[in-house]
Amino acid sequence: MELNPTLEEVYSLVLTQWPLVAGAYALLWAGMVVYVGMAVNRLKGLSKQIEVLEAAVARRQAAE
Amino acid sequence: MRSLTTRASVALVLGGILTLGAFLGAFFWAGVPDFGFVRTAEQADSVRYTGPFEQPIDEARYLANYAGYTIEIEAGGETVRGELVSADKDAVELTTDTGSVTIDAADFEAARVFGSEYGRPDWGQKIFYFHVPVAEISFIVFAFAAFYAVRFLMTRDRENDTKARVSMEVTLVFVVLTMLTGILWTKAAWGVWWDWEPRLTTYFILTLLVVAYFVLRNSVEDEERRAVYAAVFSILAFIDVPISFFITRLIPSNHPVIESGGLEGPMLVSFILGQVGMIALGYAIYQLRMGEVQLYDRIEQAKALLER
Repeated sequence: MELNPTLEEVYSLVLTQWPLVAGAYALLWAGMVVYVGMAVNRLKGLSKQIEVLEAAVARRQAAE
Repeated sequence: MRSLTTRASVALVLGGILTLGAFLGAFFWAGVPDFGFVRTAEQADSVRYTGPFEQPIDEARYLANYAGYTIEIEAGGETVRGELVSADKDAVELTTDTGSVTIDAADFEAARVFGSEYGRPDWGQKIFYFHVPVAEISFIVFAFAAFYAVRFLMTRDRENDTKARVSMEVTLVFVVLTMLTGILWTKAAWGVWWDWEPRLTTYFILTLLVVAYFVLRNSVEDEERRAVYAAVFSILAFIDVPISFFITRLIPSNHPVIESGGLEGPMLVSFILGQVGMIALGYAIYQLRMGEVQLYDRIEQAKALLER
């Protein structure tokens, strides 16, 4: 679809803002998702570690 | 621990739903406000059309920007109307009903330019729906950090130091997101990446203070001293929060301020959804990090038991 030249002129003056708006949202969500994802991953790793350690503690206490 | 991660999961889902709602509201429901205007020679069918404009011009060379516009020139005691072809400091050329006319700049007395005016849609304003909530949460979480720091100094309970540290970590996340979205908004709205105006300057100082908090923590080895220094520092650093928040209301600043009744219905609803959603996400991040810290403590305890 071809824009009316006058409207094209109107929009050409404002569409320059779009990359900045998209960039702001992309950075915001990427930052959130990466941070939360890393925290959840660390939690999973720590949970596995604590399970192993607490099982070992329980075994030792049972043996004593 | 399980209740912490459950609370974090619930807050994450709630925050995700609310911020998604805010995003959809901001882009598909709320209108786009005007910021300034756009002028053209011809009129086009557009909802942004606000009407005709008439611009007086007092020097011939200023007409150079209006090629293609309809102009009316008073020169040598006569008035000539037509479409402007070109203009410079020496002469003005225009096309009238009777043909091409060239007017010597020395004879120029005054002119008026006629055209159409449109509202300039401010798409950059869409950043506001998340930039402001993120900035608000950074202030709120910093307040919690200062609160736990005070509690630590009163009780010397290590748990309060941990809560203060985790709160500062969450503050850092939101401060960084505020800075990134703010810089992009500044470019969209003001045409520059940065301006040393009061709000930006005081918030930049806040960012440095939050970073300095972690530098301080990492530079003191003794656990007790580290906790005391960090608590005192975060309480002092918190002084910048009310300064940064109120400065746009106290001294002249380019940074926009939300005024009561300044947002129409859909904008306000999207904005509130964004705020509540961000609070939920901030709470979720805090709970996730607290869960991590508690797991570390349990691991240390289990290791100590095994080494005995």
